[in-house]
Amino acid sequence: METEKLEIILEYANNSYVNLDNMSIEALESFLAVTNALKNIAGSVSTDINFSIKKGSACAAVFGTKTDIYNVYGRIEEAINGESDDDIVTSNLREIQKHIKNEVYKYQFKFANENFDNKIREAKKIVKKRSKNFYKHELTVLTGYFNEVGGNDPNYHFDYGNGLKTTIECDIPQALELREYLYQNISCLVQKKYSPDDENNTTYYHCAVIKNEQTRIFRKFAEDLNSTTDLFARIDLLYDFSEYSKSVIEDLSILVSCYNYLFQDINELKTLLILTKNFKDNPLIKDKREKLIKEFEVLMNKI
Amino acid sequence: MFEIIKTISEQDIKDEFVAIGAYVSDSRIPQFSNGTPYHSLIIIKYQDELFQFHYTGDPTLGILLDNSIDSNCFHKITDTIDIKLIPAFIMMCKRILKNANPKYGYFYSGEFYDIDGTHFSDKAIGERMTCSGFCLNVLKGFLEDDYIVYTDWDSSTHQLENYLQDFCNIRGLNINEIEISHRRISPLELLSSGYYSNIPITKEQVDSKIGSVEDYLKNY
Repeated sequence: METEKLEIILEYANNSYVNLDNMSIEALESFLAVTNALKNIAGSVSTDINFSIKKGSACAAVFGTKTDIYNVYGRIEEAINGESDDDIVTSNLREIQKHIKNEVYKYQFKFANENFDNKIREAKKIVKKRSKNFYKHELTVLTGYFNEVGGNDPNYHFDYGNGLKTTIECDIPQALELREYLYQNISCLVQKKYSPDDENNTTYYHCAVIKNEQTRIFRKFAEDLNSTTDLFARIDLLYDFSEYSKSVIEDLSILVSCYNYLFQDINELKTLLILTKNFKDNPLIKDKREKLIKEFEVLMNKI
Repeated sequence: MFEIIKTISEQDIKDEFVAIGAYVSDSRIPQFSNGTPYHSLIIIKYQDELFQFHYTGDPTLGILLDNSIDSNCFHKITDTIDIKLIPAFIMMCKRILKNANPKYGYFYSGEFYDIDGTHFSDKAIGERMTCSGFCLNVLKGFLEDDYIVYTDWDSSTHQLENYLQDFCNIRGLNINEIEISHRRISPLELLSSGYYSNIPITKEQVDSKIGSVEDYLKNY
């Protein structure tokens, strides 16, 4: 079968010729970052590929069947043109772009022996394209009479009478925890997933049960978070939340327990860790925070 | 020396970073010999913009987060703060700027800036620190663990006659409660700590870098 390859070659760092036998710290750091990004991109397209690192400057190559390598290249080109909706390809290509653009390094990026580093250098900042038919996610607080929980794919209901009810998806540990609230009026922080084109296509996911006195701060927090995608503004909201909280350990413990529904960016998770550091041994927070740290570390190594 | 960068005029190897900075004396600062680091600060570069974050020690200026970095500032990138987390770091600095209220003194005993930029101390000394101590409070606030093994420094690192006694007398403080916090971690030592990424950093590690950092700055 015909094979093909994509290569990244680091030729110079800080005006010195790079040699795999003898690399400076900064050349190695850059080369490893770029090689890792190339691995992530290629690995997300096909698992049936191989890599090599070889001398003559510092050269990392991914090789495989012609189809696979053309696919990898296609995904890269799509991202260069701002047409990619793939997070792995765009974030890793952005990392490669950063190094190619840095004047300290001189890189070559070759596909089928043709250079295309200029294309990457000159591309606008590579970002993920938002797909058209996407779902929107919002946080909200629901209050109601809670009269049923269970099922193989567990869920629970808020019954509003006259046949009106809302179904909320949850997992088994949550279902077990929720049982103690049966036949009571309760409030829950939930994630609402819906399609803007079709209001009937809405699903709710359970985040946490909140107490009556917490509904106000969580309603406001949910509204505020829904209203902005700007990372700095969202971090500010987290700080405001803890600053205005009247029972900060209890309120923060809820954010820690359902961080995966609330936050997307690693910096939001880091801020949550900063905010809860002094309570890390508090029984309300301890176990959940340790889980969050593990997840945080996995994410740090992935990006 | 490799990796210590003159902040304004030299280009660092990374586009974005958090670094330990130091203002270094030249002919404008006659009270120190040329090439002495006399003020500690944190340098941040994010999206092509350089910031300094520091405690001036001046009661009216307090803490500053701005771009007016001195021309004779040097820095060393610290790998203890991942560049992916610079937005979270900047936002923490902004909260500290808003809520912190440090006072000057040669003390540090593991304090840090906590939730919302308010200060956390389990010692009697409270929010009392030098410019280097401020940087340590900030770094510890951001990191999961201690940045430095502060107990490696004892009160002999700050030998100003009767400092502790006078400090306590003026403020009516109990010297027995305060002396545990008395120490000086200097701007030169803090700058040298920038070479280490495994925390907490020991005095022995710092000491092994001081000579070459000092030589580099004197001969710059």
